[in-house]
Amino acid sequence: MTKSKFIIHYLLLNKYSYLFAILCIFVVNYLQVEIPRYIQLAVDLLNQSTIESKEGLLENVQWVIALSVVMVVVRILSRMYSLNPGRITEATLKNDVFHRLNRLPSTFHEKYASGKLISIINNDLNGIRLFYGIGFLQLFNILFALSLTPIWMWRISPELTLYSVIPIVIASVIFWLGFRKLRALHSQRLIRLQNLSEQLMNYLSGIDLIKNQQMGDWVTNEVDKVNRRLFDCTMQIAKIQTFFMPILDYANHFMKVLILGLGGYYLLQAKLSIGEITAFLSYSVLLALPLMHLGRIATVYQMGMISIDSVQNILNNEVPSTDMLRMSDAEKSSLRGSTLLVQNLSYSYPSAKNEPNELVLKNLSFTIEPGEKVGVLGSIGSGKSTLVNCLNHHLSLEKGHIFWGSKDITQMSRQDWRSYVRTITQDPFLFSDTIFENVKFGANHQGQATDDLDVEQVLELSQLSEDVRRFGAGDQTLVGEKGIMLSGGQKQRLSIARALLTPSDLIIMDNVLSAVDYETERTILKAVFNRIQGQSLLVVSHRVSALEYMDKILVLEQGEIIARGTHAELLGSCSYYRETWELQQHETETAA
Amino acid sequence: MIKSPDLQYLKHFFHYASRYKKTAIIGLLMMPLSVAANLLFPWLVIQVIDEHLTPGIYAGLMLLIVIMLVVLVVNYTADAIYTYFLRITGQKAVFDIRMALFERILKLPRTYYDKTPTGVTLSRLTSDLEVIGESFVLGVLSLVKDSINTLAVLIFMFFINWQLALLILLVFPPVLMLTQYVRNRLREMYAITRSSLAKGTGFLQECLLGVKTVQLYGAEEEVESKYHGYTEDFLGAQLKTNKYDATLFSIITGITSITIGLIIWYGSGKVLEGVVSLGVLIAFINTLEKVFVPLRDFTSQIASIQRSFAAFEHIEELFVEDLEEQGQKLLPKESLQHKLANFETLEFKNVRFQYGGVGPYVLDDVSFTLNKGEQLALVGTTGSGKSTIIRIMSKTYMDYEGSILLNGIELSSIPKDAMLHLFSLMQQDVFLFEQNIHFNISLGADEISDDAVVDAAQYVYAHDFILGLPGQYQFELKNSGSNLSAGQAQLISFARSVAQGGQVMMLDEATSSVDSVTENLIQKAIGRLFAEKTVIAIAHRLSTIRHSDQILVLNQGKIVERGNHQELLAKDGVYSSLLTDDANIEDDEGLLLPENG
Repeated sequence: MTKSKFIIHYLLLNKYSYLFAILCIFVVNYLQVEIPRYIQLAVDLLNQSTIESKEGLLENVQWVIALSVVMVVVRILSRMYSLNPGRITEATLKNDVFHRLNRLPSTFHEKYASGKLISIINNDLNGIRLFYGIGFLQLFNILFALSLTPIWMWRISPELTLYSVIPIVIASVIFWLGFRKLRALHSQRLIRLQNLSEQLMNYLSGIDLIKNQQMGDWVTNEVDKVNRRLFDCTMQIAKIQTFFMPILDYANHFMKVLILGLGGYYLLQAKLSIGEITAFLSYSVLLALPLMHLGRIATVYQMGMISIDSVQNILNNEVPSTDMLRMSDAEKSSLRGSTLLVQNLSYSYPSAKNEPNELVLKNLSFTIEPGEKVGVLGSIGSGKSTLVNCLNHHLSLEKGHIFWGSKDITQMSRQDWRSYVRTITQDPFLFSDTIFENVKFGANHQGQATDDLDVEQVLELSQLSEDVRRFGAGDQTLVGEKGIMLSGGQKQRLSIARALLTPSDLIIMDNVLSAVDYETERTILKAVFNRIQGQSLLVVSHRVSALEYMDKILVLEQGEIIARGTHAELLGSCSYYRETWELQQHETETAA
Repeated sequence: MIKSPDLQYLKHFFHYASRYKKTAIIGLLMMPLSVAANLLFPWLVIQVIDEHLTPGIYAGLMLLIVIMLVVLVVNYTADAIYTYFLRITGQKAVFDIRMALFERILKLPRTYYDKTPTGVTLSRLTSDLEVIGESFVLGVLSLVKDSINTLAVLIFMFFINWQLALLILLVFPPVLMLTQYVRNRLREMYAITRSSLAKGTGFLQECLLGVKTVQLYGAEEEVESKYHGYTEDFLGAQLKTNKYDATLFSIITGITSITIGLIIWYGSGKVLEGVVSLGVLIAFINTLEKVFVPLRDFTSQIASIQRSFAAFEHIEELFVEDLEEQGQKLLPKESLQHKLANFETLEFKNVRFQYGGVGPYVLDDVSFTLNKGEQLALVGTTGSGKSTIIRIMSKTYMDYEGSILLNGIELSSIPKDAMLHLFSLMQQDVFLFEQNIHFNISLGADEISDDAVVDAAQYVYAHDFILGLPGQYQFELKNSGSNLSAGQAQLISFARSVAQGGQVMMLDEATSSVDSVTENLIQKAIGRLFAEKTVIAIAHRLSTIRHSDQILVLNQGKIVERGNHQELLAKDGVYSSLLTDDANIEDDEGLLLPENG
């Protein structure tokens, strides 16, 4: 979406509110210029100082008061109906941005740290709110005030009106010089604020290490640097705001002086009345106020533009078109329990430059039949995790390499694909909510009847229920941020429970039992085997003990499948497998 | 207008601002100049009308006009200097508060982080301080300037004509009452907006950090509907706020015109009687702006100061949050320097511990002694309290019951920074700085030479893979190490704990997610450590445990068995069953896991 399309799209969201607001703003501005006319009449009648004039004077005064009351009411409406859309747009955009972020693939999230994204949603959306609210209001206020007021002034004295323009022109030139500088500074400041927020976020997440290693001084020093850069920028902005921008306010006062001097000269020549000079003085304020607001609206405008750019940086990342596809229910159920076919799968991480990156996966081919239990053994850096992230389509793939039944998984949406495949990652992410809610995560909306949601049962299967019983509040215990209250093993078991809760056709376990002991590992695997007899399972591990009983084991080394077969076959055929097995066997033998 | 708890919150701000008295004083000195110029202007208007325009005398008019221009220039200069210098003061205070809060945050206990999402802490340091820097500083500056000017103008008006001035004053009480009423409503609304914003931000942050999990579980709609709830709350309160704002603003703007009407109506009689000159009446009409515009702006200034009070309240929470070692009787660091120069012994005597002082005991009656050169292994199922022991030893959690003696000194009386140098901790969660590998191993410590970094890396067999990276030790890590694999990150963090060279190595599940071949290498390294250093280890690998002098078997926070490997095997208890299970996996699960040869 282009920037102007973006702006119009969100303007149209509140079009009726805006239209009504424009009408109100016009009425307010009309009344604003009408009222001084009645004041002028009153003052002139006063200057005549006759008894007859007193009656007319009272009538004019009543008009002034009556019109003022009407103006108050209409102004309330004008502000409500022009400022509310700003708030509504902000809320809508928040949801829209979040919606998009949730659907953007991993390639996007690797580029943007979450601290930066949050800063955009919190800080930049403020700028957009102002743009769509106060910016809109002031734009029309200024438009009407600057067009109506000169007409009313012209009616009194064309010459004086023309001369009054002089201070405005001078002030505007100075103002725009400052404005251009401010524009650059504001975007710079926003970036510096984002940097600060990113940096703080990063250090807060490593707070334990920082404390234990007594790195407080170093970290404080780093923060100080970034904080200082922000401060410098803030003060540069302040300098322009205090020395350049008020010039416009003073244009109002210069105008008054001009009106008194020149107007006085005309008055003495009997070209003007004292009432007309009074009205002119009032109009000078009406002309100056919008000019003052011009400063504000300019700021709002430039901040809005910067913010829109930031937000568009997110929104312009299109969700891959295949992710917008939705399978029909019939197609969905026809694909239940299919075979996973991997055909000549190669993968290399995208590199910054165009030079080809090293292949992390090289020409892999294998199948997982429905109900088959497959293991992948590999050492560090062998491509295990990359393989998992390809299979669950976390990484972006070329088509024609991974098929679910007859369907290429790159030709269905990731959301659909993940209703078949459940991945338990090695770094499980928990929300700072209860254990219960964390287990239910991802199962809440899928239309499964709640009686299927047997949280207790899956906690039992993943060997967590005993731990849960020990917590004071049972499964209503809060796990803390990122599950801090739980040990690494408890987190892993919780994520297993989570995956077992919703039925799926293929469960991928990516090295998930690394933080639990052999005993627990075995019990959990047993339970998982029991639970998912009809479902396929892929276990990725560097421990042979976790793989020994798989129907088929793939041995992955440097992105290639160097051997495949059952445990017994591999012991005979693959030296790497045997070596690894013996190392672990050696441990257990000496133990026994 | 401002309640005393509000003022209480400002205490910290003014404390930091008072460091910049000089700048503030220069700014404040400009104030009288600005006020004088501000009053001179309407006075000159009266002169122009009454002395020249009404009687029709041209001579001298131009001189008055020139004087008026000079007054304007003085006014501009004084105003600009006032605002600029006081803004410097305010921004410097904000700068210092941010640093002070950050330093405080670094000293907060683990319990604070357990109960506070990082997003909340982050918004204290960023958006709350932004609000203070913008809303409070600017709000107060204009509020002070406007109130003084308004007051001066009012006094000036009384001086010129007290009856007309009194008429203007009559309008004040209803306006002030209205302001007060709206102020209270706005305050309520701001509390709601800020809390729903903080909750929303906290949740958003979690979702973004866990976006992979959200996507892999197809939970997009689920988290969105929750987030929409927060947005709705926020919007609802915002719209109400807007209604109050609009009403107040419009009424006060309208008041000016209404009062002009009143002045003419009342003043006309006086003018006819000759008591009031036309110049005075016109000057009054024109100066009304100077009274009512500030009165109108008061509300927006107060609103913005209001907003900042919510932010001050949040920051105050951080200022009053107990520091890690606050209120504890600690021995002076100097007196311990000698005693804690080297590690001698660590003794746990009947230690009990529960997280946050509530819930079940995670450690229950734990006693053991670790002497210099000994190795202690902690064994037990997950959740048995192994990690807790290490967390208590490193003083991550403090309120234990019983007694822990480090070199014979009670641990709770030792300042944390006097004992941390003794320990090298390797935690479960690897945290990496967005710096190069060298920094992540040395942690910027000058006393760790380049060679020492390489040595440490070789020690844990990380050297080879580091040499394979572009830039080798200068390889920059991104996004908390997302450009390394989990195993590589583990290795770096392992090298780090070796390089830091504490006398007691604490290894917490050090070998998880490392493949068997690498694991074997690490085991050899650990073997070396076990031979040379004092070690306390949580490990699942038998080779780690086997060579320990002492093995503690924990179950639900209690030590159920202790002794060395041979002794425990001989006991044929929990420990040995852990091991035999390992060896006899086929027998145990033969039915479920088809036997392979």
